[in-house]
Amino acid sequence: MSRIKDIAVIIPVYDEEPVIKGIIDEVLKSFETVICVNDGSLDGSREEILSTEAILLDHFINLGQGGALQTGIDYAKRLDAIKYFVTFDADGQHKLIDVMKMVEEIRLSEHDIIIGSRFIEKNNSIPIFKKIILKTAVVFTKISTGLELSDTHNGLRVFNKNFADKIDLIHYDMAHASEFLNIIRKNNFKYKEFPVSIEYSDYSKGKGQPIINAVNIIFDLFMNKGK
Amino acid sequence: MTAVKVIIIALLLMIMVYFINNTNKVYVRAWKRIFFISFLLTGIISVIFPEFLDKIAQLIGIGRGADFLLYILVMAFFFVTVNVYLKFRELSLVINKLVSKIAIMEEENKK
Repeated sequence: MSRIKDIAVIIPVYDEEPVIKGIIDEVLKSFETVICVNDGSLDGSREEILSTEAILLDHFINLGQGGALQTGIDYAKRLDAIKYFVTFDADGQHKLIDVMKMVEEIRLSEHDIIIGSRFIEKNNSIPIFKKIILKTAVVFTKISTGLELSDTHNGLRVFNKNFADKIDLIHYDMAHASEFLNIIRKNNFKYKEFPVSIEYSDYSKGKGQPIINAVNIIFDLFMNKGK
Repeated sequence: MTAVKVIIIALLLMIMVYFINNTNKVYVRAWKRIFFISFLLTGIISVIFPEFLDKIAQLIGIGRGADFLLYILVMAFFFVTVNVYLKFRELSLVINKLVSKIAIMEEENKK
Protein backbone atom coordinates (compact mmCIF):
# COMPACT_ATOMS: atom_id res chain seq x y z
CA MET A 1 0.00 0.00 0.00
CA SER A 2 1.52 3.34 -0.97
CA ARG A 3 1.81 6.05 1.62
CA ILE A 4 0.39 9.56 1.37
CA LYS A 5 2.97 11.99 0.02
CA ASP A 6 1.28 15.38 0.16
CA ILE A 7 0.34 15.50 3.82
CA ALA A 8 2.60 16.21 6.80
CA VAL A 9 1.68 14.80 10.19
CA ILE A 10 3.03 16.95 13.00
CA ILE A 11 3.44 15.31 16.39
CA PRO A 12 4.56 17.45 19.33
CA VAL A 13 6.33 15.31 21.91
CA TYR A 14 7.12 15.92 25.54
CA ASP A 15 8.27 13.00 27.67
CA GLU A 16 6.52 10.19 25.83
CA GLU A 17 9.36 7.69 25.81
CA PRO A 18 7.21 4.60 26.54
CA VAL A 19 4.82 5.05 23.63
CA ILE A 20 6.22 7.42 21.03
CA LYS A 21 8.04 4.94 18.83
CA GLY A 22 4.94 2.79 18.47
CA ILE A 23 2.81 5.79 17.62
CA ILE A 24 5.23 7.17 15.04
CA ASP A 25 5.69 3.81 13.33
CA GLU A 26 1.94 3.43 13.12
CA VAL A 27 1.54 6.83 11.45
CA LEU A 28 4.48 6.15 9.11
CA LYS A 29 2.59 3.18 7.71
CA SER A 30 0.16 5.58 6.04
CA PHE A 31 2.08 8.85 5.76
CA GLU A 32 5.51 9.49 4.28
CA THR A 33 6.12 12.76 6.10
CA VAL A 34 5.95 12.60 9.87
CA ILE A 35 7.43 15.59 11.67
CA CYS A 36 8.12 14.93 15.30
CA VAL A 37 8.95 17.92 17.46
CA ASN A 38 10.75 17.01 20.67
CA ASP A 39 9.86 19.79 23.06
CA GLY A 40 12.78 19.54 25.46
CA SER A 41 11.88 16.12 26.80
CA LEU A 42 13.79 15.05 29.87
CA ASP A 43 13.37 11.34 29.24
CA GLY A 44 14.55 9.32 26.28
CA SER A 45 11.90 10.54 23.83
CA ARG A 46 14.52 12.07 21.56
CA GLU A 47 16.36 8.79 21.11
CA GLU A 48 13.11 6.96 20.53
CA ILE A 49 12.16 9.40 17.78
CA LEU A 50 15.60 9.09 16.19
CA SER A 51 15.11 5.32 15.99
CA THR A 52 12.19 5.90 13.63
CA GLU A 53 12.06 7.38 10.15
CA ALA A 54 10.26 10.48 11.32
CA ILE A 55 11.85 13.90 10.92
CA LEU A 56 13.10 15.14 14.29
CA LEU A 57 12.96 18.80 15.26
CA ASP A 58 14.60 19.33 18.61
CA HIS A 59 13.72 22.14 21.03
CA PHE A 60 16.61 22.38 23.47
CA ILE A 61 14.25 23.76 26.10
CA ASN A 62 10.57 23.09 26.71
CA LEU A 63 8.31 25.69 25.09
CA GLY A 64 4.89 24.05 25.33
CA GLN A 65 2.67 22.18 22.92
CA GLY A 66 1.83 25.35 21.00
CA GLY A 67 5.51 26.01 20.43
CA ALA A 68 6.14 22.48 19.23
CA LEU A 69 3.24 22.75 16.80
CA GLN A 70 4.47 26.09 15.48
CA THR A 71 7.94 24.71 14.84
CA GLY A 72 6.54 21.63 13.11
CA ILE A 73 4.16 23.67 10.97
CA ASP A 74 6.87 26.18 10.01
CA TYR A 75 9.10 23.35 8.88
CA ALA A 76 6.34 21.58 6.96
CA LYS A 77 5.39 24.78 5.16
CA ARG A 78 8.79 24.81 3.50
CA LEU A 79 8.27 21.40 1.95
CA ASP A 80 6.93 21.88 -1.56
CA ALA A 81 5.18 18.56 -1.71
CA ILE A 82 2.99 19.24 1.31
CA LYS A 83 -0.55 20.46 0.69
CA TYR A 84 -2.26 19.47 3.94
CA PHE A 85 -1.19 19.36 7.58
CA VAL A 86 -2.28 17.14 10.44
CA THR A 87 -1.71 17.87 14.13
CA PHE A 88 -1.65 14.66 16.15
CA ASP A 89 -1.10 14.03 19.85
CA ALA A 90 1.79 11.87 21.02
CA ASP A 91 0.12 10.16 23.94
CA GLY A 92 -2.02 7.68 22.05
CA GLN A 93 -5.34 9.46 22.52
CA HIS A 94 -5.82 10.03 18.82
CA LYS A 95 -6.64 7.26 16.40
CA LEU A 96 -5.08 6.94 13.00
CA ILE A 97 -8.34 5.77 11.50
CA ASP A 98 -9.95 9.10 12.46
CA VAL A 99 -7.10 10.93 10.73
CA MET A 100 -7.62 8.93 7.53
CA LYS A 101 -11.32 9.80 7.52
CA MET A 102 -10.64 13.48 8.16
CA VAL A 103 -8.03 13.53 5.41
CA GLU A 104 -10.49 12.04 2.96
CA GLU A 105 -13.07 14.60 4.04
CA ILE A 106 -10.83 17.63 3.51
CA ARG A 107 -9.79 16.48 0.06
CA LEU A 108 -13.38 16.13 -1.06
CA SER A 109 -14.86 19.18 0.63
CA GLU A 110 -13.78 22.81 0.44
CA HIS A 111 -13.07 23.25 4.08
CA ASP A 112 -9.89 24.94 5.21
CA ILE A 113 -9.73 23.06 8.48
CA ILE A 114 -11.38 20.01 9.98
CA ILE A 115 -11.28 19.64 13.75
CA GLY A 116 -11.91 16.48 15.69
CA SER A 117 -14.69 16.49 18.25
CA ARG A 118 -15.19 14.12 21.13
CA PHE A 119 -18.77 15.20 21.66
CA ILE A 120 -20.48 14.42 18.40
CA GLU A 121 -20.72 10.74 19.12
CA LYS A 122 -22.40 9.96 22.41
CA ASN A 123 -20.51 6.84 23.25
CA ASN A 124 -17.28 8.55 24.30
CA SER A 125 -16.57 7.96 27.94
CA ILE A 126 -15.07 11.14 29.27
CA PRO A 127 -14.64 11.79 32.98
CA ILE A 128 -17.58 13.93 34.14
CA PHE A 129 -15.55 16.74 35.62
CA LYS A 130 -13.49 17.13 32.49
CA LYS A 131 -16.66 17.11 30.45
CA ILE A 132 -18.09 20.02 32.45
CA ILE A 133 -14.95 22.08 31.97
CA LEU A 134 -14.84 21.39 28.24
CA LYS A 135 -18.49 22.28 27.82
CA THR A 136 -17.89 25.54 29.65
CA ALA A 137 -15.09 26.27 27.22
CA VAL A 138 -17.55 25.73 24.38
CA VAL A 139 -19.85 28.42 25.74
CA PHE A 140 -16.95 30.80 26.35
CA THR A 141 -15.70 30.24 22.81
CA LYS A 142 -19.11 30.93 21.33
CA ILE A 143 -19.22 34.23 23.23
CA SER A 144 -15.73 35.40 22.36
CA THR A 145 -15.36 34.14 18.79
CA GLY A 146 -18.88 33.45 17.58
CA LEU A 147 -17.83 29.97 16.48
CA GLU A 148 -20.16 27.04 17.15
CA LEU A 149 -18.09 24.09 18.20
CA SER A 150 -18.80 21.07 20.30
CA ASP A 151 -15.16 20.51 21.25
CA THR A 152 -12.89 23.54 21.52
CA HIS A 153 -9.75 21.87 22.80
CA ASN A 154 -9.11 18.99 20.47
CA GLY A 155 -5.55 18.48 19.29
CA LEU A 156 -6.56 16.47 16.21
CA ARG A 157 -6.82 18.82 13.25
CA VAL A 158 -6.39 18.67 9.50
CA PHE A 159 -5.92 21.90 7.57
CA ASN A 160 -4.73 23.20 4.22
CA LYS A 161 -1.86 25.44 3.22
CA ASN A 162 -3.92 28.63 3.29
CA PHE A 163 -4.72 27.99 6.90
CA ALA A 164 -1.16 26.95 7.76
CA ASP A 165 0.17 30.23 6.37
CA LYS A 166 -1.92 32.14 8.89
CA ILE A 167 -0.72 30.28 11.94
CA ASP A 168 1.51 32.45 14.12
CA LEU A 169 0.95 31.35 17.68
CA ILE A 170 1.59 33.69 20.59
CA HIS A 171 0.60 31.27 23.31
CA TYR A 172 2.76 28.22 23.67
CA ASP A 173 0.83 26.72 26.54
CA MET A 174 -2.64 25.17 26.27
CA ALA A 175 -4.20 28.47 25.22
CA HIS A 176 -2.85 27.80 21.73
CA ALA A 177 -5.92 25.68 21.05
CA SER A 178 -8.04 28.80 21.30
CA GLU A 179 -5.67 30.62 18.96
CA PHE A 180 -6.55 28.17 16.21
CA LEU A 181 -10.16 29.19 16.64
CA ASN A 182 -9.22 32.87 16.50
CA ILE A 183 -7.47 32.23 13.20
CA ILE A 184 -10.66 30.73 11.82
CA ARG A 185 -12.65 33.74 12.94
CA LYS A 186 -10.18 36.40 11.77
CA ASN A 187 -9.78 34.96 8.29
CA ASN A 188 -13.27 33.58 7.88
CA PHE A 189 -11.98 30.12 7.15
CA LYS A 190 -14.40 27.31 6.41
CA TYR A 191 -14.29 24.85 9.26
CA LYS A 192 -16.02 21.65 10.15
CA GLU A 193 -16.03 19.29 13.08
CA PHE A 194 -15.56 15.58 12.67
CA PRO A 195 -16.44 12.92 15.22
CA VAL A 196 -13.44 11.20 16.73
CA SER A 197 -13.19 8.55 19.38
CA ILE A 198 -10.98 8.98 22.37
CA GLU A 199 -9.55 6.25 24.49
CA TYR A 200 -8.41 7.32 27.91
CA SER A 201 -5.88 4.75 28.91
CA ASP A 202 -4.23 4.97 32.30
CA TYR A 203 -1.16 6.30 30.54
CA SER A 204 -2.88 9.17 28.76
CA LYS A 205 -5.07 10.03 31.75
CA GLY A 206 -1.93 10.85 33.66
CA LYS A 207 -0.98 13.26 30.93
CA GLY A 208 -4.06 15.48 30.96
CA GLN A 209 -4.08 19.15 31.81
CA PRO A 210 -4.85 20.02 35.40
CA ILE A 211 -8.31 21.58 35.37
CA ILE A 212 -7.14 24.68 37.24
CA ASN A 213 -5.15 25.49 34.13
CA ALA A 214 -8.41 26.86 32.75
CA VAL A 215 -7.81 29.91 34.94
CA ASN A 216 -4.47 30.54 33.23
CA ILE A 217 -5.95 30.05 29.78
CA ILE A 218 -8.78 32.51 30.38
CA PHE A 219 -6.41 35.09 31.91
CA ASP A 220 -4.00 34.92 28.99
CA LEU A 221 -6.77 35.12 26.43
CA PHE A 222 -8.26 38.12 28.19
CA MET A 223 -4.93 39.93 28.19
CA ASN A 224 -4.76 39.29 24.47
CA LYS A 225 -8.19 40.54 23.49
CA GLY A 226 -8.07 42.88 20.59
CA LYS A 227 -4.63 41.80 19.39
CA MET B 1 -17.33 62.09 45.11
CA THR B 2 -17.18 65.32 43.16
CA ALA B 3 -17.69 65.63 39.43
CA VAL B 4 -14.03 66.50 38.99
CA LYS B 5 -12.95 63.26 40.60
CA VAL B 6 -15.20 61.20 38.37
CA ILE B 7 -13.90 62.88 35.25
CA ILE B 8 -10.31 62.44 36.32
CA ILE B 9 -10.77 58.76 37.09
CA ALA B 10 -12.51 58.12 33.79
CA LEU B 11 -9.81 59.96 31.87
CA LEU B 12 -7.01 58.12 33.61
CA LEU B 13 -8.62 54.72 33.00
CA MET B 14 -9.02 55.47 29.31
CA ILE B 15 -5.43 56.57 29.07
CA MET B 16 -4.24 53.39 30.80
CA VAL B 17 -6.25 51.12 28.50
CA TYR B 18 -4.93 52.98 25.47
CA PHE B 19 -1.34 52.70 26.72
CA ILE B 20 -1.68 48.96 27.24
CA ASN B 21 -3.12 48.31 23.82
CA ASN B 22 -0.64 50.49 21.98
CA THR B 23 2.31 49.95 24.19
CA ASN B 24 4.88 49.82 21.43
CA LYS B 25 3.84 52.80 19.40
CA VAL B 26 6.35 55.60 19.32
CA TYR B 27 4.17 58.28 20.86
CA VAL B 28 3.00 56.02 23.66
CA ARG B 29 6.58 55.25 24.56
CA ALA B 30 7.41 58.95 24.52
CA TRP B 31 4.43 59.83 26.73
CA LYS B 32 5.28 57.06 29.17
CA ARG B 33 8.66 58.66 29.57
CA ILE B 34 7.17 62.11 29.95
CA PHE B 35 4.89 60.84 32.69
CA PHE B 36 7.76 59.13 34.40
CA ILE B 37 9.91 62.27 34.40
CA SER B 38 6.97 64.36 35.63
CA PHE B 39 6.47 61.86 38.40
CA LEU B 40 10.09 62.21 39.46
CA LEU B 41 9.98 66.01 39.25
CA THR B 42 6.83 66.07 41.37
CA GLY B 43 8.65 63.95 43.90
CA ILE B 44 11.59 66.33 44.00
CA ILE B 45 9.39 69.42 44.28
CA SER B 46 7.27 67.97 47.07
CA VAL B 47 10.36 67.11 49.05
CA ILE B 48 11.63 70.68 48.75
CA PHE B 49 8.17 72.26 49.19
CA PRO B 50 6.13 69.90 51.42
CA GLU B 51 2.95 71.95 50.96
CA PHE B 52 3.06 71.38 47.21
CA LEU B 53 1.22 68.07 47.36
CA ASP B 54 -1.37 69.48 49.74
CA LYS B 55 -2.14 72.28 47.31
CA ILE B 56 -2.62 69.89 44.40
CA ALA B 57 -4.74 67.59 46.55
CA GLN B 58 -7.06 70.44 47.52
CA LEU B 59 -7.38 71.45 43.89
CA ILE B 60 -8.78 68.06 43.08
CA GLY B 61 -10.83 67.66 46.23
CA ILE B 62 -8.78 65.12 48.11
CA GLY B 63 -8.01 65.76 51.77
CA ARG B 64 -4.29 65.68 52.20
CA GLY B 65 -1.22 65.61 50.04
CA ALA B 66 -0.38 62.24 51.53
CA ASP B 67 -3.69 60.80 50.28
CA PHE B 68 -3.01 62.21 46.84
CA LEU B 69 0.40 60.60 46.85
CA LEU B 70 -1.14 57.28 47.86
CA TYR B 71 -3.60 57.32 44.98
CA ILE B 72 -0.88 58.21 42.53
CA LEU B 73 1.27 55.43 43.94
CA VAL B 74 -1.49 52.84 43.50
CA MET B 75 -2.00 53.83 39.89
CA ALA B 76 1.71 53.91 39.21
CA PHE B 77 2.08 50.42 40.70
CA PHE B 78 -0.70 49.02 38.53
CA PHE B 79 0.83 50.68 35.49
CA VAL B 80 4.29 49.30 36.21
CA THR B 81 2.98 45.80 36.89
CA VAL B 82 1.12 45.64 33.60
CA ASN B 83 4.10 47.07 31.74
CA VAL B 84 6.44 44.48 33.21
CA TYR B 85 4.03 41.66 32.34
CA LEU B 86 3.74 42.84 28.74
CA LYS B 87 7.49 43.25 28.38
CA PHE B 88 8.09 39.80 29.85
CA ARG B 89 5.62 38.25 27.44
CA GLU B 90 7.28 40.01 24.54
CA LEU B 91 10.66 38.62 25.54
CA SER B 92 9.16 35.16 26.02
CA LEU B 93 7.94 35.25 22.47
CA VAL B 94 11.37 36.21 21.17
CA ILE B 95 12.96 33.31 23.04
CA ASN B 96 10.31 30.94 21.74
CA LYS B 97 10.99 31.97 18.17
CA LEU B 98 14.72 31.52 18.67
CA VAL B 99 14.39 27.97 20.03
CA SER B 100 12.04 27.14 17.18
CA LYS B 101 14.36 28.55 14.54
CA ILE B 102 17.35 26.67 15.97
CA ALA B 103 15.41 23.40 15.87
CA ILE B 104 14.59 23.89 12.19
CA MET B 105 18.10 25.03 11.28
CA GLU B 106 19.69 22.02 12.96
CA GLU B 107 17.54 19.67 10.94
CA GLU B 108 18.22 21.45 7.68
CA ASN B 109 21.95 21.48 8.34
CA LYS B 110 21.99 17.72 8.63
CA LYS B 111 21.47 17.39 4.89
